[in-house]
Amino acid sequence: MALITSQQYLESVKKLKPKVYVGGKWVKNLLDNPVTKSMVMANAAIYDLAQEPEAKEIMIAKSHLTGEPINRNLNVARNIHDLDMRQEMALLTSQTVGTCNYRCVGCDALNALASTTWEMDQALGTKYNERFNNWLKMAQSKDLAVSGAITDAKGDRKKRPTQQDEQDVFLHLVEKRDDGIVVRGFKVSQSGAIGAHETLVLPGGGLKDDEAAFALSFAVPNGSPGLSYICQYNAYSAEREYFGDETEELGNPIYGQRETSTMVFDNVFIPWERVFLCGETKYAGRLVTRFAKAHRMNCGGACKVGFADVIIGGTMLAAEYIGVEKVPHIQEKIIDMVRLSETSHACAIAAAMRGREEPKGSGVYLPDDLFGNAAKLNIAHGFWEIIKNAGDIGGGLVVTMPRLKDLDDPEVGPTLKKVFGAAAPAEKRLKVAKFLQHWAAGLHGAGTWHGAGAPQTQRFMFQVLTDFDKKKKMAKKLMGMKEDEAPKAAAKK
Amino acid sequence: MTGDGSQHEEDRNRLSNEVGSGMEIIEVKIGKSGSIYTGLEGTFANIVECCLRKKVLPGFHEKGLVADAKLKDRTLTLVLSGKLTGAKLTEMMEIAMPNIGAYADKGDNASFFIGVKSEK
Repeated sequence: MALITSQQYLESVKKLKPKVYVGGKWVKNLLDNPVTKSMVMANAAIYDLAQEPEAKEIMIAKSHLTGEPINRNLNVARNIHDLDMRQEMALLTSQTVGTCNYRCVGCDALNALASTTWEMDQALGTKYNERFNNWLKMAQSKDLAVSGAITDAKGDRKKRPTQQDEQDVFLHLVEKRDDGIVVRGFKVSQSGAIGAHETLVLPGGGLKDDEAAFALSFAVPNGSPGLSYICQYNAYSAEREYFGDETEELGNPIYGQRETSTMVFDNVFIPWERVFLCGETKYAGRLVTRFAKAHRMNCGGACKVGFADVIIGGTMLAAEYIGVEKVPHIQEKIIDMVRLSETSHACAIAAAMRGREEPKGSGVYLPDDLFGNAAKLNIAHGFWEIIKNAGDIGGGLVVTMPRLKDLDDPEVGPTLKKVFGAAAPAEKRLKVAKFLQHWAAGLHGAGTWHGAGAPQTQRFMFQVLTDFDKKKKMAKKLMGMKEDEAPKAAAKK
Repeated sequence: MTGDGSQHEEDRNRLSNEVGSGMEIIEVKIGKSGSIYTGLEGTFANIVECCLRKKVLPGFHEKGLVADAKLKDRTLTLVLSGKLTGAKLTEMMEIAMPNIGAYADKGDNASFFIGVKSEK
């Protein structure tokens, strides 16, 4: 049973009872709460995609461990084609649900783990890779929804993890026992763990030698005692709760905004068989860097491009509904939106095509670092421009519209239909305005900025990965300028 | 090592190593009926940790549900509070097991056993 249907996933979710808190209450059933349900339904749609024949090449891969067909969300990339299909999956899933593929971070985390655990076993003689492969085989055989948790709360940024007043702001080891470890602390801004079967936890960044307690990576089942989830809560959460089953009132009716939570680990036990890093500080940074490398290609250069595609589509409809679709500056703005998104996608494709085995001998392929970072940095800035143009062309209505159901109100409905009727009926105009509101006035601007790491991290990587001396030499050569002579300090002696 | 389960941890480790293949087969016995679950090695240790040390059943967040838990060799005996029918106990274990990463399966080669009873 290497591929399950959305119905099988939903049946499994009915039995998952994670400790989830949403806006003042504990949620007993993920499918009964409108907010958590939207996240689960997005996951279900991703399971559906893998059943569609036309999406097969993108969504299904062959397990390198068993040879069985598996969902690509659980695949370890073994070649360039895998990397390319991985970023295409990010594009397709975003186009399909208009929110997170909540298995995406887990997929990039497991690729980073496949690479780094192999490297550790080679260098240190550990058994992490064997354990990880056992876990992966199990996850693949059950087609589990696996999410990923990376970001620590971090506390006072001037202080290292060991210096924090509140130790839990970095997830840390409490106890090492014969049968496993006990961990404690928080992971924040985590997407979709509530509806996942398991979550892969990685360190939040590089660590120093004396920070071994924070060098942790493991897989944790969703309902593990001691683990709880405090979900994000905002105007969109409140709106979704307010409308309940009347989801047609909402910008993204079924799948909603991106749902995240703060994961609270209160002395959670993790058996050794699920531990993939414990104290090896030297490998914490490598693990996170490899995760970022994969995630910047996918999250930046493909996922957000899928969002851009549906925003562009909605914006064009908004223009048509008021009869401005042929106005030159409108067309120019839409072309700008395409330019920004496709440039990022090109970076993602380049990152995949220039991918390589890392480390040599591991069999694991990771995207090119520079192009992956370029994809993310480009879309971080470009996405604001894209939603700005959507708001521009969509007009003030995007944020001033009444409720959709007000059109059916016997008293104000007839008036509203007159007010908002244009080249299309008021119903269509308001529907697309609500859709654009979801993007232009929603959570995705800041989400895109920070997701896969804030732009400053990509700028730092540009600094590290770019050979600036080589560029200066090329410029000098072209100008006919001689190379600077080496310092003659030795000659003076 | 601390807590109630410490004396059994060596046994658990030894038993885990015997199974091989990275997976464990666990039989949940309620009355005369038994259900098979498979999970990654360490799953039984995790259930023992939950029930014996934390006194909680995975997937159930109310306190006091686990009235008693005992581990002997490879068998965990669990007594749940309240007067629960066999059907209710089965339903509860069908929730508890996947929440700790063990999934319903077929077969009869269980290496670990969980006997579940209702408090009288």
